[in-house]
Amino acid sequence: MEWKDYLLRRSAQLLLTVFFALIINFLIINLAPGDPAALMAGELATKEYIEAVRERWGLNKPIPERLVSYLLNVLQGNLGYSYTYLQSVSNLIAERIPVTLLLTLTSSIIAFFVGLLLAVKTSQKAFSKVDLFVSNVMLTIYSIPSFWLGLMLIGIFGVALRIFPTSGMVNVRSTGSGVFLILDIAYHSILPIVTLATIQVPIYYKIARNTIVEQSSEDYVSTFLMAGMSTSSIFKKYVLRNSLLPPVTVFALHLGYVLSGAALVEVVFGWPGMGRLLLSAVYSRDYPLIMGIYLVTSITVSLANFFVDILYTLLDPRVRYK
Amino acid sequence: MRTSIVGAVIALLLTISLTSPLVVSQGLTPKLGGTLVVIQVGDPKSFNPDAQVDDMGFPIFQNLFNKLVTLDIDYNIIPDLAYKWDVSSDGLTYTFYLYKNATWHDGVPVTAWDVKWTFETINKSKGIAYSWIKASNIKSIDVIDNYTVKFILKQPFAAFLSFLGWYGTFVMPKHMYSNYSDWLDPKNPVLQKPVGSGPFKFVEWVKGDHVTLEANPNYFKGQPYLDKLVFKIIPDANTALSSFLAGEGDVLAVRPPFSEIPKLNSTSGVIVRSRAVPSQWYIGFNLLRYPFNDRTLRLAIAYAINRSYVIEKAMSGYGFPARGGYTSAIKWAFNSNATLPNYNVTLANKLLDDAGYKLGPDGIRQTPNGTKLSIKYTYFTTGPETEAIGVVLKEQLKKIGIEVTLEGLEIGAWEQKVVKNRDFDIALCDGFQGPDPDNMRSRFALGAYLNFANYSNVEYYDLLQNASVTTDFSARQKLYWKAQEIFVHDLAYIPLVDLVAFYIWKTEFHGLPWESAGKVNYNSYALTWWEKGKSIEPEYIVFLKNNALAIVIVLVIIIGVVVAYKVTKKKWSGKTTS
Amino acid sequence: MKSKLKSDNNFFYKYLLLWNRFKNYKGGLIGFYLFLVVIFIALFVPFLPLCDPYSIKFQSFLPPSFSHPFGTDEMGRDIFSRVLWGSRTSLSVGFGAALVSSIVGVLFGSLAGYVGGKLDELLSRIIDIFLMIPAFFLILLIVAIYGSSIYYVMLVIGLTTWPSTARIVRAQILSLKEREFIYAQKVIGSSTFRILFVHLIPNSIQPIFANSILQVASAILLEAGLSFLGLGDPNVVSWGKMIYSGTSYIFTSWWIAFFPGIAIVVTVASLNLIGDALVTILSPKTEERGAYA
Repeated sequence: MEWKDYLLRRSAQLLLTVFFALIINFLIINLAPGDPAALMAGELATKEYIEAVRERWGLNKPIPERLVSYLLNVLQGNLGYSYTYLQSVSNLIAERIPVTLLLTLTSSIIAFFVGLLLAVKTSQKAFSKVDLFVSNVMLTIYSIPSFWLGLMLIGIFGVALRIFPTSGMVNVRSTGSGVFLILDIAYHSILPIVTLATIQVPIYYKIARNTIVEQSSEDYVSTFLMAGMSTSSIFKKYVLRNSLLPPVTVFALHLGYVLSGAALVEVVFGWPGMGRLLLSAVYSRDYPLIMGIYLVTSITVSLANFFVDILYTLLDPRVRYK
Repeated sequence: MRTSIVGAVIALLLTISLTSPLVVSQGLTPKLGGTLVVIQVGDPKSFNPDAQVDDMGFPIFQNLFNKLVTLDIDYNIIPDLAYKWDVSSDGLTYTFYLYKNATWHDGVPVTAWDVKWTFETINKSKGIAYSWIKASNIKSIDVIDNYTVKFILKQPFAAFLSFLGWYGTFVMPKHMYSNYSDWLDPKNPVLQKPVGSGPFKFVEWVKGDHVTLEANPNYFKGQPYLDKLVFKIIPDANTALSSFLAGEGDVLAVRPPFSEIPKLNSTSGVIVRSRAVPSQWYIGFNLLRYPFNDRTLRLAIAYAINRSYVIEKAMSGYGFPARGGYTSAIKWAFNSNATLPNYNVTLANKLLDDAGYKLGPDGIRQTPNGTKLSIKYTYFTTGPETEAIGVVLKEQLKKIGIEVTLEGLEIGAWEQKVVKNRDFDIALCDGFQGPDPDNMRSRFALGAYLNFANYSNVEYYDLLQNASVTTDFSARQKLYWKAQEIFVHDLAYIPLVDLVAFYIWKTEFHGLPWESAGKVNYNSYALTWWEKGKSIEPEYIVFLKNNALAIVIVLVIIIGVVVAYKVTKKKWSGKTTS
Repeated sequence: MKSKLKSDNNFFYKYLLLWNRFKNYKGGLIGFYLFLVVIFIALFVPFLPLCDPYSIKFQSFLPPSFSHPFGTDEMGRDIFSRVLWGSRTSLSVGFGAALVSSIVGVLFGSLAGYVGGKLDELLSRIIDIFLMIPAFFLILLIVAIYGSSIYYVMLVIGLTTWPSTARIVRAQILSLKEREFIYAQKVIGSSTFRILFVHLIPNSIQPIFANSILQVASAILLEAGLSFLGLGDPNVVSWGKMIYSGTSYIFTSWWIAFFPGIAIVVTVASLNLIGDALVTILSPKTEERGAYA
């Protein structure tokens, strides 16, 4: 019973949060300087032509009225039409999501395993030379700007060594589809994924290492040691299992940022993902598109948080429902 | 002795025949087939070519659709859908005669009704050409017969044909839009899958990646040589460049950073050509704000700017210093005698000293009112050169005691601040000033939306208005020349750079629009062909043609040898028998 | 009236103890000395014998040489001097943003933690909402539309990153407010204001401080990211902006983008090393040596 109440309350929280985020975004965007009608009208604009454009897109109505109609539309699942692409916003976003997901999901998974493995290997002897060295190296890697790393990789592998393509998702001339297309995309995705994964490894390493070290200092470990169990079997049977939960939750939280996290890398490598879509929407003041992207990313972040909370209550018996 | 002479001649002829392929031309006859990949910087918004400003769609529309008349690479008016046209002597009636065999890509014939519907819809739905169509004062559009259409104006408009060939005037298929009251109705499939009349027809559009067109075998001017035309979309200029260098494109329609141009030039298999375009970078002063309403200050600033240095530093030397009150690329309209002030720092300083702009202890002058001469330079961040120009200006104006701070805004915010709200000190702007000098009216004249400097010289305005309705060429020219004299005197705007456009493509392609002046519009690939395509004639005929001279020489040698042999044999046999 | 309790007068003593423990963390020490170098450069750069970082008088695209150790950029400015001057911008944005974030975070977090009840719930909801919005996107939007002056960027970054500080402060306050010395203060009748600002907050300083250092690091990275997208302030020298300009020339003049990136890594890493060491020291669980060691 208690659990169901918690679930209900948490879901209500989720919806409320998304709702408020949406309103805030609408206000920020629509109160911004820059008239989309003038932008759309272009260079040879006359005042009348701009007014005509404004009328066509309903930009001449007062803000509260626009807010209400927008919210009503969203509730019906209609995210509006993009001024610049002349398509429904949901279509546009749906097209870009797989691209971004390919980069972020793959790199997160790779980073998760690499980070975890590294932590397992080095942090069993906490504070040993190896452990400290790797920790510090990880911190340094975490300090590298993702776009600079991507740029340097392009310079080394794309230009100097000419091993990998320097940009884009596919080779335009390839008329192949199916397997060949997949291979082509995979080839083009190696450098961006390596960039993203490298930056994320330190996060997973750190959480895994900290948890392992934390677990190692728990009472049950010293109890087992005194009882004569070997360090390696203690580790394998107990510490490791208990240490898996935090990295997994971090991973789940990161999934929330899976749509927005790759923006800089998308720009550097020229991939048509959500990050680039947002940038072009901002520059052309494409209100419906900007709000659509925010809505989708807010929802994913909220959902990820929501599931992590629920997951935690299910898996970790120490957590109590607030 | 004779044999040795004959031998020498034979050797000489053989040598000539073996090297003749170098002497004879390579046979610049078009070949069939191939795919041309054009790299550009963004997607089209839709495939309605006349409804909204769509700089990315325009090059594609130029290959999908036709206009009545169009502009070639030199901005000359050439026939497109209309093979001929008449203008009445009073300049009020334009009669266009259309090709009778032009069809839409779905087979329906193109008629004068499509033309009438197109222009009436542009007017009704306020398409991009609406502004100048209104300015043309069209009284009516009459269909004389299926292939003849008349435009009747209320008063003469000298630039009518130029604008007709320029932008937003593609003839659209009436039958594809007749079921929709709104020509931008997203439910209309033709916005995503266009039906045009041009040399190429639509195949597919993968958003964010490419648009593919294929040759229209029924094109009324003849099937194009290429099989396919692909517009590859790469939104980032650097990425576009690296894609091109990696062989992923054949034409680079994105201007790369200036410093990469020499490298492109020296890449094998790549050609780079540049051309002056009727576009300029210019700065405008806010004439409604003190002290910019003081002409002496503006004059001093004009003297302090070394335009060549600006180009050298901010644009890697690619561009020409602006010389007068209009772009020098439209030669007939440019007045070379109305010159801008030349670089002269001493004179600039003297002017300011004499006008009471005292030099402060920190090296910055003060206005006669006592305020510090600290100016904000507002630019839009579409490319690195806008800021770079500002950096150079900052250093140059420092030498005459003016402090400059930079304010970079993205284009929407810039337009709002500078054009709409007129809240700025100096602003940098650019823009296409062709195809006809009538364009000056929408940029610099009283009342124009883009006249952000609030330049209000009435004489200037009157000259431009008169020139717009004058049909006599030399009278028009004189009016524009006078206007430029006033422009460079007042210096409400100071043009800085006459821009240059770059054409970058692979040498294996020929017949590109910039090589086909007088024949196709400036984005059309209708005459483009690929070196490695199939010959139009069978291979052996091509072989014969290419090596004609060599073959002739070889034949001559053979005949000569045979004849010489016969002759000497006769002589020998004659000698023995005698 | 100055408190006579030993725990407060132990201010300096506490920090001495901290430094002793800190010294044992090699990583933190390296970070600390590196950071001293960076601070030194940032403070004394006007006195160093360098070229004017704004002057475009040199030839463009010169590779690294003796007279230009890092080469010149696309406008002919000396990169070495720009990298050194850029430290001022990055550090000011970093510290400025962290300061804003800390002030707002401390305010919200301490109110939520101390007052509790409905206020706590409301503030926690607000914090959650802020955390839902992808910060980078929001900053991008605001700066792109409203302007990119350096002070503005500081403010915006600070106003979008305060939630994490608030959470830490709230947790600290929640645990501290049940302690005896606070109870004692309540008994003698100290006002809420006094309890909060004289006792609770100063005693929470250490985890706040450690977190702030990490925030400075991430603010520097955020500013670099913004500048990289072309949204930086054009009137100052910024490492991110230098990388942005250098991107176009990565094929030929790699040094334009390379050196500013190194500068960012060095500065941010030094801060992260320090911050991480501090966080480790201040969380008891991870500090104790594991049973294996």
